[in-house]
Amino acid sequence: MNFLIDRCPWALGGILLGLVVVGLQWLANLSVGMTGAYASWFEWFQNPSGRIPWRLYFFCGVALGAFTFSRMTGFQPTFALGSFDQKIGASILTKAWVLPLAGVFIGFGTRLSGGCTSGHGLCGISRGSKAGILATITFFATAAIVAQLVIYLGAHQ
Amino acid sequence: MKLNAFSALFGGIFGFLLCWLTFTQVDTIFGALAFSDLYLWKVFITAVVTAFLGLRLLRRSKAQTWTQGERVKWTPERPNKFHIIGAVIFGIGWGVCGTCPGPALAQLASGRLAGGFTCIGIFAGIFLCDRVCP
Repeated sequence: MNFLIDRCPWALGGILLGLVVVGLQWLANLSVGMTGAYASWFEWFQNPSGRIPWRLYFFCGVALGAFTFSRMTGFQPTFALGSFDQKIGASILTKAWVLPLAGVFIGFGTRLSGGCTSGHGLCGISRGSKAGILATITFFATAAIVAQLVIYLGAHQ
Repeated sequence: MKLNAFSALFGGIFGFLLCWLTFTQVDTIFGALAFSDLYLWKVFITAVVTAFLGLRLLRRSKAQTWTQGERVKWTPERPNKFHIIGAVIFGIGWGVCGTCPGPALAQLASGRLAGGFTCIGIFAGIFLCDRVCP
């Protein structure tokens, strides 16, 4: 699928992402949120005989959608991670401790703040939630500063 | 049934888009965070505007949900200090690895296997917060 090799036109991608938010709201007053989707696994483990949370279906859908994309574009699996490899380290060993550690910060932080880029950012702001706006400004600003720090430290090693 | 099927479908569209929008590639994220590549910002703002208009159209037209037939409604959350503290912690992790929770999963599932390390950490972080957070 040649058209998938080039990145999606921003207007088309933005409208489609927005429609996912609208669609879930219309479906059952649901809010898009990846952090909740991760957490739904724990919800399910705690009560395996109960109803499977809708967020678990959402989680599996995201994985399946991404997998479908990779098959349609013939993407070859890799451990490479773009400029992360130059900035922090290309070896699998480095990734095997830096990425899980960063992941713990991501998981802990989004859980404490009650949402991530999708829940607070996309869904929260479009609902007019002050908490969503506040959280989004905070995490974008923090991430921007930290990313600059990483580049700076990488250049002065 | 309808709820689960459509949740998976919307998730599928979301995951597919994260790949097509190259949000699974850390350089798209790093570029946005350094404001050297405005692509992500354009997508994000377009998505927010689309959802903002769509949600209000649903509410104003007194639409009902497909599954329960309730009115379309939502209650915005009030901000508190945990929104800020959590967002700072999240931002630190995000700035280092260039990945937030959605793209981390989409990376792993699309064959960018390093995303699997990030996913493990995210699960652990959520588990930890559920133990110690207020």
